[in-house]
Amino acid sequence: MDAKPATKLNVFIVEDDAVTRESLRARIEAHPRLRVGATSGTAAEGVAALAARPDVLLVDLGLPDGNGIDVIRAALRRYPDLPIMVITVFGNEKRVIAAIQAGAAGYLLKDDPTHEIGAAIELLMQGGSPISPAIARHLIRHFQEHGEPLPAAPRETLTTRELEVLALATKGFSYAEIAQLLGLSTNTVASYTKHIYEKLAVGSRSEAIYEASRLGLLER
Amino acid sequence: MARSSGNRILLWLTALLLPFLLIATLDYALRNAPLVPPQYLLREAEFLESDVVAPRELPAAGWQHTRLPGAVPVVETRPGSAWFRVPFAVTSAGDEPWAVYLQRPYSNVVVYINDEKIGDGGPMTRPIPTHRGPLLMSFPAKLLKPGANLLELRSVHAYQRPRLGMAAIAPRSQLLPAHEFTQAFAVTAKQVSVVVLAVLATLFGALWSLRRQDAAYGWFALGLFSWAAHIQIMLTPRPPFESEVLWQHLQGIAIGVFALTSALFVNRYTGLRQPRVERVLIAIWAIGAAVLLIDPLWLGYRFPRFGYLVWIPMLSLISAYTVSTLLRSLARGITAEVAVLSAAGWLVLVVSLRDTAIELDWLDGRLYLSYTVGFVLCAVAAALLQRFAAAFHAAERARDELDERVRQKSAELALNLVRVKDLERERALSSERERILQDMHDGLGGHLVQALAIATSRETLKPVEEPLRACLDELRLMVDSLEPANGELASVLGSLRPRISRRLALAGVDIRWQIDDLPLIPDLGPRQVLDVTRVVQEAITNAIKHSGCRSITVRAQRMQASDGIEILVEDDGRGFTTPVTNGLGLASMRRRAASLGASLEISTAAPGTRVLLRLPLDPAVNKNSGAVQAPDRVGHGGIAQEQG
Repeated sequence: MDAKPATKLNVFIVEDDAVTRESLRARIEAHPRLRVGATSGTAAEGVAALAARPDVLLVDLGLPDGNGIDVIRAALRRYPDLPIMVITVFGNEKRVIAAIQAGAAGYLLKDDPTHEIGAAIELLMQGGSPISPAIARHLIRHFQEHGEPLPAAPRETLTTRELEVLALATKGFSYAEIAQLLGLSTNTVASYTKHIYEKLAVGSRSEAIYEASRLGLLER
Repeated sequence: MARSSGNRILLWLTALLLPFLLIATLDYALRNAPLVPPQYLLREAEFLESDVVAPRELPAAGWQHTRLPGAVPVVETRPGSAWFRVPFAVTSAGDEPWAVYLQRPYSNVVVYINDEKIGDGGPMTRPIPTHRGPLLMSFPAKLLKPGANLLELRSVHAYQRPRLGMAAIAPRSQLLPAHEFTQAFAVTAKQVSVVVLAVLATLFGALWSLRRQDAAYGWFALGLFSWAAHIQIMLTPRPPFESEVLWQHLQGIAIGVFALTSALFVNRYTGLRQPRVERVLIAIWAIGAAVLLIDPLWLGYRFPRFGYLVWIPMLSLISAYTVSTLLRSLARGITAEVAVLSAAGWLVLVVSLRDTAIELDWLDGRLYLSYTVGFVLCAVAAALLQRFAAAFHAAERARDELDERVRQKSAELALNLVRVKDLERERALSSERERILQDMHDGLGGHLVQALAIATSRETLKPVEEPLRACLDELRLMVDSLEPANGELASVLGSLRPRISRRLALAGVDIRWQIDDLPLIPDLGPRQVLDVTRVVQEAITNAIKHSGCRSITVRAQRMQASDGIEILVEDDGRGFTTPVTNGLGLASMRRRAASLGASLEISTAAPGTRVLLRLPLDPAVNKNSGAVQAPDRVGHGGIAQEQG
C-alpha cells in the first residue's frame, strides 16, 4: 500500500466538522490509490491550502466562515481544470446544484464508504462525472425550454443523446446500465455527463479561465 | 337567386312589368265593381260663376256650356262659387226615392231640384270643405214632375276651380251600389291604411329611438307618417283652421316629406350615402316647404302656381335622385333587399304617372297610387323587419360566440390560476424544503454523520452503527420526498436507488433495476412519494434481511389492463417458510398502499417473494378495493416479521 505513494492521487478536504473530516480522511486513506494531502476546517484555510495543487478537491458547502462555493470559485481561478466534488449529507440540496454550476463535478455523501469514494474519484479522473437522479432531474429542468432555469446560467441546449442520458439517470440507472440501454460504452456515457456539467457551468468555467489567464496563473 | 342568365332575364322582366301587372290585376279585380248605369250620367251642363246663394236669384243670362266631367275656368286664387244647371226629363218618377250622386266634386256643393234644396256637403262658411270622396244626396220622388226638371248645383270652392267630376241623377237604388263601392274603396280603405301606416310609423319610430345609429329606421318611420298624414288630409274635407289653401299645402308638404325621407332612407339602406347631395336636397326642400307655408299665411296666396311649377318638379327631382341611388346600388350587385326596394320605387313611379294622367282626364280609370304606396310601404316595412330580425339573430349569434369565447377564456384563466397556485405552492414547498434541508444538513444530518463516524471508528460503539445508518436513511427518504415530483414516479424510484445501494452492496445482493417510461401520476405530493418509496424500500429491506436472496428485481411499468402503474419487487430467496406474522413493517406497507388508493399483493412463489404494488392513475377507482384486497392477498402467505 505504501509501496507506491507517488502514484496516489492527492486529495484535499475542506470540512468544518472535525469528526466527519477525520472519518472521511480515514476512509479515503484506506483506498489504495488515494491519499489526503491537506484538510481544512474553514473556507480561509481551504483557500490557503490551495497554494499547493491537489489532484482532487472535496468541499463541504456549509462552512463557519463562508460558503463552500466560494472555495470552489477560488480553486478554479487558480486551477481551472481541477476536479472538485462537494461533500454533502443528502446530495439534492439546491446549493449542491449551485456548486455544480460554479464548476464542481459532482458530490460525495459524507458517509459514503471507501470504495464508493474511490470509484467516484476515479471516474472523475478518467474524464467522467458522477451523476445522481436528483441532480439529473435538476439538470433536465434547467435545460428544458419551459423549465425554470437556474439563476445566472445561460441556457445551453442539450443534444438528444445527452437528454436521453439524463432521463435514464433520473430513473436511477447507473452508467453501466445507461450504456447498455443506449448501446454505448460506459466511458462515453460518463463523458456525456461531463459535457452536460460543462454546459451548465459554461459561464463560471470560462470566467475562471479568463481570470486565471489574466493573473498569469494558468498552468500548462 | 338567379342561377342562369335566362332566370335573370325573367326576373328583370317580372320586375319591369310589376306595375303593369299590379294595375291589370287591380283592374281585373274591380271589373265587376258596380258602376253608375251610363244612362243616368250627366254629360253636359250650363255653368255660371256667381256668388248668388239661392237659385231664384240667379240671372237668366251669362250661362256657359260645359261638358261633364271637366273643369270650368274661374279665378282660383280666392274662394268663390259657381252654379251648374242641368235640365233633365223624367217620364215617370215612381214612388221610390231618387238621388244625386257626385263621385269626386273637389269642392263643396249645395244641390237643388226644381229650386228645392235637397242637401249639401257641409257648411258653406269658411273653411270650406273640399270633397274628394263621393257624395250621395237623396230626395223624394214627389219633387220631380213629369217632363222637364232642373238640377241646380252651387259649387263653393276655396282655391280650386270647380270641377264637378262624374255626376248622375237617378232613382236612389240605381246609384247606391256604385256609391257604396266608391265609399268603401276611396274612403274606408284609405282610413284603414292610415291606421296601418300610423301603427307602422310608431313601430319604426320606436325601433329608431332604441337604435339611433340606424337612421334608416327613423327616416322610414317619418316617411310612413308623412304618407299617412297626406291621406288623412285628403280624407278630411274641412280643414281645422280657416285657410283651405294651407290645408292643401300641408298635404303637399306631407308628400314632400315622403319624397325626401324616401331619398334619405334609400341612401342609408343601400349604404350609398352622399352627405353633400343630401344637404342640398334638404335645403331646397326646406325653402320650397317654407314658401308653401308662408304664401297662404302671410302673402295672401300670391303664388297659386308655385305648387305646380316648383314644388312638384322639385319632388320629381328628389324622386329621380332616389331612383338613381337605387340604380347605382343595383349596378354594384343585386341583393334581395335592393331588388325589393327598386321594384317598389318602379311600381310607385308607374302608378303615380298613371294616376296623374287620370286626374288630368287623359285616361279613364280609378286612382291606385294611395293603395300602391300603402302596399309598397308595407312590403318595405316587412323587408326592414326581416332585416332587423336578421340583425338580431346575428347579434345573438355573436353574443353566443362571445359567451363561448368568454367561457373558454375563463376556463383558461381558471386553469392558469390553478397553475399559478400550483407553482406558488411548489415554490413555497421548495423554499420550505430548502430551509429544512439546510437545517438538517447542518444540524440533524451533520450530527448523524458525525455520530456514525464516531461509531464506526470505535469497536465498542459498533452496535449503534446500524441504527444510526437507519436513521440517516430514513432522514434521506423524507428529504427526498420533499423534492417536487411533478407526477414522475420513475424519478421518485430513481431517487430511491442510491439510497438503498449501500445496504444492497453490504448484503452482497444484486439489484435488477427495470424502470419503464411511466405515465404521469396526478397529485403526486410528498406524502404519496413517501408512501410509495417506503413500500418499495421495505419490500427490499425485507428481502435483504429475511429471504437470503442473491438478487432482487425492481420493475416499474405501465399496467396492462387498466390505467395505472405497477411496481414489482421480487427476490430469488427462500420465500415464506415460517408462518405468516403480520409484522409491523407489513402492516405499515398495507396502510400506505391503502392511503395511496393502491392495491398491494404479497405472494410467495416457488423461489422468492413477490411484492406487487398497483397504483391507479385515478386513486379513487381503487380506494376501497385496495384496502380490502391487501389483507386478503396477504392471507396466502406473508413475510416474516420485520425487525421491531
